Amino acid sequence: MSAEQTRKLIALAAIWITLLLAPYWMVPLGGYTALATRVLVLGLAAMSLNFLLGFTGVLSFGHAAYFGLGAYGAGLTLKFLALSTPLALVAGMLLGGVCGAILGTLIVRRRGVYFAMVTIAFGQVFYYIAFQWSSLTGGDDGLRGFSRQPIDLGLFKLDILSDPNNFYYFVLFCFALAAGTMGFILRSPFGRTMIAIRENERRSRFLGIPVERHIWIAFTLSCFFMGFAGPLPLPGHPRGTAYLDRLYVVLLLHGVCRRALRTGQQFRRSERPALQPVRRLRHDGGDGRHAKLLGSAARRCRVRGAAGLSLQHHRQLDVVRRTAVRAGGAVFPAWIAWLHSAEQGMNVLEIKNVTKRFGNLVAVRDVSLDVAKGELCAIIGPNGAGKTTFFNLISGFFPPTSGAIAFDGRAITKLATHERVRLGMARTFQITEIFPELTVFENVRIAAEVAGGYRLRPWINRSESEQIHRNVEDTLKLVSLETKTDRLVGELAHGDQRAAEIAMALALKPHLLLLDEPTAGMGDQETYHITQLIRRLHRDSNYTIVLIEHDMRVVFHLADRICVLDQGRMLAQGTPQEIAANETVQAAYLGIAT
Amino acid sequence: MTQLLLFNVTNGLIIGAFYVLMALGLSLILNLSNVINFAHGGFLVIGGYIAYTITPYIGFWGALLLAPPLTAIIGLAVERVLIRPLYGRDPLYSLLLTFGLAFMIEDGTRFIWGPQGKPVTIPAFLAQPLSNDLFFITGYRLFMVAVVMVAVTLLFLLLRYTRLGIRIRAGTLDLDTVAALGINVQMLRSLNFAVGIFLAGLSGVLAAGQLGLEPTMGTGLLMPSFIAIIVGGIGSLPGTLVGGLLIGVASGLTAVFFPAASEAVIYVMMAVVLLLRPRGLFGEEGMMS
Repeated sequence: MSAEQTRKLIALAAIWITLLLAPYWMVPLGGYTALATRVLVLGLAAMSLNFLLGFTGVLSFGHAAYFGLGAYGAGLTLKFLALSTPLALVAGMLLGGVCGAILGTLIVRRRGVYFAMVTIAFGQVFYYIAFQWSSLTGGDDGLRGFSRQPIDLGLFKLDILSDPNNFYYFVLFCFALAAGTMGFILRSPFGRTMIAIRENERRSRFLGIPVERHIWIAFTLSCFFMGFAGPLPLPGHPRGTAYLDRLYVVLLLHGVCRRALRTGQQFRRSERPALQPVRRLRHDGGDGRHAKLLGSAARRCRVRGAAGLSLQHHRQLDVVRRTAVRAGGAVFPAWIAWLHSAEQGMNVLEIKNVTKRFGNLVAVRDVSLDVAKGELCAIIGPNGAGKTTFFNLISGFFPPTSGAIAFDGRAITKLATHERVRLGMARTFQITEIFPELTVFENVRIAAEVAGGYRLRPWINRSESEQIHRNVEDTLKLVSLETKTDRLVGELAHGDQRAAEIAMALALKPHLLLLDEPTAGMGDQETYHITQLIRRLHRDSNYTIVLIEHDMRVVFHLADRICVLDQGRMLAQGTPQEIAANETVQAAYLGIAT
Repeated sequence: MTQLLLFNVTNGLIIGAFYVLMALGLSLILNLSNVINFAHGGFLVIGGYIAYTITPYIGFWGALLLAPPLTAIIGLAVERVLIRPLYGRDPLYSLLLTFGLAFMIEDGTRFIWGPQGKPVTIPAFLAQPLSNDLFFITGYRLFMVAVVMVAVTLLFLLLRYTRLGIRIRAGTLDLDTVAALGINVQMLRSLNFAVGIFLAGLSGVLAAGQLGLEPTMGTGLLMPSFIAIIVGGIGSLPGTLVGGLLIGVASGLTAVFFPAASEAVIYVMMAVVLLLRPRGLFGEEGMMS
């Protein structure tokens, strides 16, 4: 056990002991037990909110509503249905959770500022309903005419009505139950997908996580917890909606401070500020051309002292590495068998006459492309030729205006990104998309768990977990990152970040690997390593790869076939020799009149 | 019945016009600076109270002219000291800040002017109902609509034809490019914020004449403005205009048939819009998502 873990354990133990003994130290200090109870209830509400904000990264301002709904649900149950506290708690939780689930379907479509505003507005709806429907809710006076009930435990009755200490321990029990459940969920594959979404939404999408659905689940769960917390301060504050309003600032500050702290560290670690404006811009435009413009400038300052090693000099190293790869490749036998299977004639990807328009701009015009199994196809072309748009069409970032795309013989033209990923299509980005604050191992594990079909699982058993571990380790070995598994990805050198991104794609066990400018912004040394990696993946592990690349040395070194795009059109395709000799291509690149 | 209906629709339009004035200011600030100004209702209250304070000296018309720019100056100071350090960070930070600021303004006004409601005297001829047989609408309500129309027209002219307006519109689309063209973005944000707060101050004076003043009135008027923006579509000022009028009419109509729901109906509208057209009626695809 590391020193840090020990410290954490001691802190945790101290907190629990303090809470357990609260009625005994708070009263002599001038407090009262009901205050301790309220602290617990608010703590639970704050944890429910943090479950959503801290782990999925979306901020709900309307959560007080679900707290209030929980309170009303429980109060109304006690008043009209049955005099049973457990039943009332369950009813409250269900009311909060179900309302959250229903509204969640409307809310999760939006993100950021919009999300916050919509949640505020829905919070107000509940406030108005509670306020106006006074025949049921008691309006401004609050719900009255019921009280807590003793809990019948069979052997004895726990009197939570008149004994504040008993009530405190009952609430503490509920608190522990909820906290334990949250901790359990957050340590599961599903919890890791939540963290993945917080860290990098786009990457999550391209790992095959249906982001909206996962946020919806997290939102609903958080509402359930909120609904569970709501009835606990009963009776007295049934109007939880109004009651929580001002405490919100406090709850949020806790979460936001934690995020701020983490983001600060991240900035220091990886010189990210230089890339920040680029990231923002890239989300605005579709084809990333802005980003390229600024990105290359930003990256220039990161290029390390180039060692000046040419690709040729290191060819001999290939042989040594190849043996290592074979050892690693033996792990996913069925999948490796698929990769090596005899149907070489089959086309993995068939693109028929796709066109993509943005308003009047035709970014991709009537392009067709077949990629055979095991082939490495490079797409080249001058800036603005439509390469990245073409890639986005393949990976499902947006649908084509016309044309059809088939993958493994299946029409995928209308499929969403995550569905394409599930069919076996993985991609990397021109500007590396990773989870910077997670370790290399965790980055790849998320991908492996999604690929293994565990993404919605709130638990994972030992043998499954070991299987995932082995997969991750083998994948990391494949990209030569096995010595850096516990480093944060944000700390790594640019080339290693790229390798980690490729490892994530590989962990998805793809039938087709899409690499968007894998060597962009790299020094000679790093370019060399990445090129060798791609070569190994292609030649030794038999991956089908489509890549965009600017560096002609890399393209001619790797490609079986080269496709040239110019002004959205397919200008030419053929073997590297044919392309090198093609006059139209030369004209497009050098601007010679034909 | 027709008369009642007509009355409520007209009334809804008038209230809607008022929401529009407020929502436009909110929308301006949101579009350019990515700040959800939760304290907008607070600035409205400040505008109203300033008008209340200066009316005895310079009369209602003087207050109408003077209170909004004074509010805008306070807004500028707040922007400079509190909000500016938060630009470029997650919008969450400024949202939290203005959330707290709204409470501070509310308690501040309560401290200075007391918790009781305060009336603002309006000129007698505006307080008269226009016609006793048809509508029971006071001249002041029509006057409000006229002021809103003038203000909105001026705002759109400002955005369309002045250098500041063009820069604000460009900044809304891509602030980084505007900065790269050598324009002082800080200044642009400040002026834009001031324009937004000016509109809040103006709404405050108008609201004070109609409803009287209370420290808590800001929050109640803020929510419909948010909804006007969401319904109209974030990023579109004409959308905000239409959104404000729509929710005004909707709540006016509901008041005829089901008075208890007249406040809740605007939230239902928002839900319907989000369901059928998540980006809002006039919103651009991809804006803010």
